[in-house]
Amino acid sequence: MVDCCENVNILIPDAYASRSRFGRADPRAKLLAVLLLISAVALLRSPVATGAALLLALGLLAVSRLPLNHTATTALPLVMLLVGMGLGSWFSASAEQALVQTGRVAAAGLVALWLGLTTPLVRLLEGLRRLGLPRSLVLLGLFMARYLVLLQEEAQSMRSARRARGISRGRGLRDTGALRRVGLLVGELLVRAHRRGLRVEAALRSRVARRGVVWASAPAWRGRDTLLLLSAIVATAALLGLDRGWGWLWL
Amino acid sequence: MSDDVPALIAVDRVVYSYPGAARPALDELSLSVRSGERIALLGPNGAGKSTLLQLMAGLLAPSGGAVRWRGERLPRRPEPLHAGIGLLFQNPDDQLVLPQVGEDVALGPRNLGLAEDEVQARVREALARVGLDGFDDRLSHTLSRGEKQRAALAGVLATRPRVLLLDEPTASLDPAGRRALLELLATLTSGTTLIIATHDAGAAARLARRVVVLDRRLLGQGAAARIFADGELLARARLEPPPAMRLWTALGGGEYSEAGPLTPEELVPRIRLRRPKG
Repeated sequence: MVDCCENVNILIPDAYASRSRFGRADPRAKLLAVLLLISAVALLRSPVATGAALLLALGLLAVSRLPLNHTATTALPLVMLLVGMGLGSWFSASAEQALVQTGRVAAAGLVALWLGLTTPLVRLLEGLRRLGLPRSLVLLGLFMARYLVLLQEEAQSMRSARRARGISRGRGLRDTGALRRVGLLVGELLVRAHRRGLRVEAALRSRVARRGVVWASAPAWRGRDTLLLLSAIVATAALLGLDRGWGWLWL
Repeated sequence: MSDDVPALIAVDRVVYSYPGAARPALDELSLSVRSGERIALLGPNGAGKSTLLQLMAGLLAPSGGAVRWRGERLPRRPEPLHAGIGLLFQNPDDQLVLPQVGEDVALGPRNLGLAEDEVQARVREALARVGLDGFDDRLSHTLSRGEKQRAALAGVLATRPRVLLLDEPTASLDPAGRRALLELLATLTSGTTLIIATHDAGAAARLARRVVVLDRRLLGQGAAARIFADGELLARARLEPPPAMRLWTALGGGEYSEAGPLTPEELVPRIRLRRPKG
């Protein structure tokens, strides 16, 4: 029996999101704020401004009322990526450039992480749809988030069944038997995914209207969302002012 | 109820074949369901029980014959949601389409066009009825099988269906989960038309007043006590009477008969009566 919860929580923002300080904010405001901040961070050149961006991103996470353990666990892959990038850039650029590059990636990554950790997936996708992302892509995202985990579980149970019948893992790419088995596994998974797709479609049709699926409540733009967006605009201007000199803002 | 009143759902000589299948899943099957009835569909694997439920819900179109709701033939693309039909699928993983439980339960009410306050009220009420208070923020894939089944049922109940179609709701539940679900269904369905497809004769005896036995065709139908007393019919459909009836017979209570106990609640007093006093 495969344990459902041993899988990595891929693509799915945790349930903590809706309980966080920004969990009920309009996703459009958050998406636009993040877009602004990441764009600004991408333009930074000075270590001071990059440091400020990093502090801002950490501050956002700190005030979001997210459990520290959960935030740290989710941020771990990002931290490892940064260490790798940082180490790489120390060989190819000056110390200051490497520092700025690492800081920029860290700040942008943490801001994106803040968005993911404070926004339930359904609301995030609804925000993207309302900002112009095609409906079909949004639905694809929703179903991938729900059903990739199930496909992963099915793949694990098929592998376990194979091992239980004495079929070994194989010995790398030169083992043609192993390649054939991987091909069979992928093929079987595709067949199962197709069958599941048909059943899901029937189940979905039993609960939705013909005119189209409504999967989330319409986001309501409130005063706090305007405040969030204005804060992001001010922060973006401040970061660029700090980086390029305050006079640059008036050009 | 008067015979003049059209059946709520009428299945008239329906044939259904899956693409590429050597024989039809349902062959000239007729069945009539009146409002408020509680019916169990019993039959072996591949008998067409799930297919029949999906035909009744309008999710499949019959290859021959007709399905009518309140006397009217189903439109080409019917909407079970707006017709007040709720269908619980056999595998809850097929039914829980959104990652978060609360969002998934809200799917039906939102697609009914209800205001968000009403949607949230229905979500809370449905989750409470299935014993999943506070599960709104939980991720579907982290639930146990029994919890998934109840979450899927909450999604159906949140639409407040007049007709509840349940496909093997007790399959792969542990005994405690099965008992909890049966108790829940027994309390939920007053006034609601209930059609349950199952192998579980005990569940059928507990929930349904009429039992329909099929194996691609209609083999028999009638009151639960009469059907479960018909050993020949049950053998043809590879079924067994409910455990309470089997136990009563094993204890020397006589052959299967219409007077036999169908549920543990009916069995216990009879055993007490037979027990020697002192």
